[in-house]
Amino acid sequence: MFLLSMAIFITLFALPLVAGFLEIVHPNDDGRLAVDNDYMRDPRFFGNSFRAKIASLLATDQSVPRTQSFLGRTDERAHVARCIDVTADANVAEVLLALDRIDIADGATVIDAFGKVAATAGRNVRLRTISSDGYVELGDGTEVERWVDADDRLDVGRGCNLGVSASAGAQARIGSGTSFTRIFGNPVVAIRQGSDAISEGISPDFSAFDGNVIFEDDAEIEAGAAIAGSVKAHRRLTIGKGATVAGNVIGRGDVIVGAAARIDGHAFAEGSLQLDRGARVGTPRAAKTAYGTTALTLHDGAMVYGWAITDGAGRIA
Amino acid sequence: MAGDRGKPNAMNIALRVASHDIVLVFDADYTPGRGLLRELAMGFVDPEVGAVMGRVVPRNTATNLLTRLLSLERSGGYQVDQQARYNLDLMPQYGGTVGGFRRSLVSRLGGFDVDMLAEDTDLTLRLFLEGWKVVYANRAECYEEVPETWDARFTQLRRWSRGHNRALYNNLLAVLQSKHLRFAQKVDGILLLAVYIIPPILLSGLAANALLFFMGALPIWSPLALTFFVISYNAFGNFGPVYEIGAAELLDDSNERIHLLPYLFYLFLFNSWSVTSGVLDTVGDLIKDRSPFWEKTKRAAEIDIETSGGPNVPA
Repeated sequence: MFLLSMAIFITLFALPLVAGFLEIVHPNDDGRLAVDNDYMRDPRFFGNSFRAKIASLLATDQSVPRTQSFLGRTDERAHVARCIDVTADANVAEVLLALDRIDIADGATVIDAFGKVAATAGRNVRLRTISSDGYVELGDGTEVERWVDADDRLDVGRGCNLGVSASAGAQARIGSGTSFTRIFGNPVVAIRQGSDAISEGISPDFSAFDGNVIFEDDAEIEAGAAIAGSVKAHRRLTIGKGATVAGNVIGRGDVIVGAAARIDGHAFAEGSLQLDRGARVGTPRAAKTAYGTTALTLHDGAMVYGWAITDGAGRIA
Repeated sequence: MAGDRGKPNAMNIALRVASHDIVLVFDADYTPGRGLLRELAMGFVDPEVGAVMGRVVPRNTATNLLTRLLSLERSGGYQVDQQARYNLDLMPQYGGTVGGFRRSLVSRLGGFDVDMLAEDTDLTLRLFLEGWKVVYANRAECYEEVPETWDARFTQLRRWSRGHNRALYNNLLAVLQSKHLRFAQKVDGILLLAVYIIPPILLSGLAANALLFFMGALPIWSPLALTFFVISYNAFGNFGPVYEIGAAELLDDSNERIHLLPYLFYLFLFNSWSVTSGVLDTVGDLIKDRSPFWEKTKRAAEIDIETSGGPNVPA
């Protein structure tokens, strides 16, 4: 009985160690976890990655026009030409690469479009991606499935859909009714066609705070107030018209940034974030982020130097 | 610049030299990447945050069994433990090896206590007691070198235990009385502070059991008791740390190394002895009112130099 008990005990004692022993003798998983020490966030990753893929196709020592195979996400065909004009309502199944400019007429459907000098799309165009080393213009109602990238300015008409990412090396002007997830620009500007420059009346009798301001409940910064530090509210936060915040604005609920208010730092909302007419986040000297977890709405003339991001619904009002 | 040895002394010198408000700290064996500074600094966007801690990742995992087991410990400690404490708004720890703090704040708190071997734990507690928060940034990953010899590991853990228990002595009452901490934070703070007194308690239990057995007071060879003992041993796998590490390895997509989890029981016994030595050191420090000596953890390169009789410099 004793020997049997000992045998059972030793067996059960050793059993959990067997698999580990095999892993020690013949290691299958002893590498260090991968950490990319060179990783730097690139706000224009999609465009830059695409440019790297098509660089060989755009070499100037090759004849144009021509069509050849192209390895994007899958095996695809690329049409390379000096200038490309896509006619209205055309449906193009090839990746279009222009050494000069590409112009897509109203109602066309295109996979990927790249123009070295410029890329333009008319009204109600459907695209997977569109990019340029120069500027990009999208007409009203254009739908982008994945991303848009311009080395220079990006002009987007009304009622567009900008897919998962829109980025520009210079100014990104986005028309009203456009939906988005992420826009990067220097700055991103919400535009309502025909509107004038924003000039809200601001009371000259404003309050001033030297440091950070933290609220445990709903909070409202009065119109015209000047805050030298950051503002944080643990619930809903409203920044009044024309108020200025030298630091960051953080709200654990919804955040409304009033008309013509200026935030030099980041604006983060764990709920929705709304930038009213002419409100500004960031400065020309430093890219900042306007982030609303559930929604991000930019009203006419609202401006973000850097990223405008949401995990929910992004919209130009 | 000159001063006494030890990290708290070095940090106090750095506080006087630094000119900007955000100070980022890396231990000497750490190799921070380019993007890490931004990842860490982003935590300070929140005006309520006093310190930020990143994730430590061993780079010498494959060296031997010890480094592999320590890699498991690190994964569980950061990927799950720290992350959970942060997500639940409890008390994530500023670990002091890949992280940062507000210089003005730490200066206002009197800098680092040079008699404190666990200046990171002490700072964590002092920040929370003053109403500040600590952010854990899991994406701010940095390679470190874990000890490759049992001797180096024993020394390191003994120092941690000695310092941590000093932090317990200094801060426990303040945690209990704090008006800034919620009840859940107080409970977590006590658990955090008390983590290095659990091993001596468990070791005492094991010793008591052994004593009772040899005195004949434990009928361990009866079939029922034997069954109970075997089940108890296997039930060890249900303890929190093992779940924690298993979950972390799954999150890290490191599936095969999970097979080493049962070996942590033996590492636990080794750790317990080391930690108990540290507890005894703390008791000695308090009784004799002595300042602890900073015994630096030996790294692989230093051990190579010692064993070869000199620095291994290529010609």
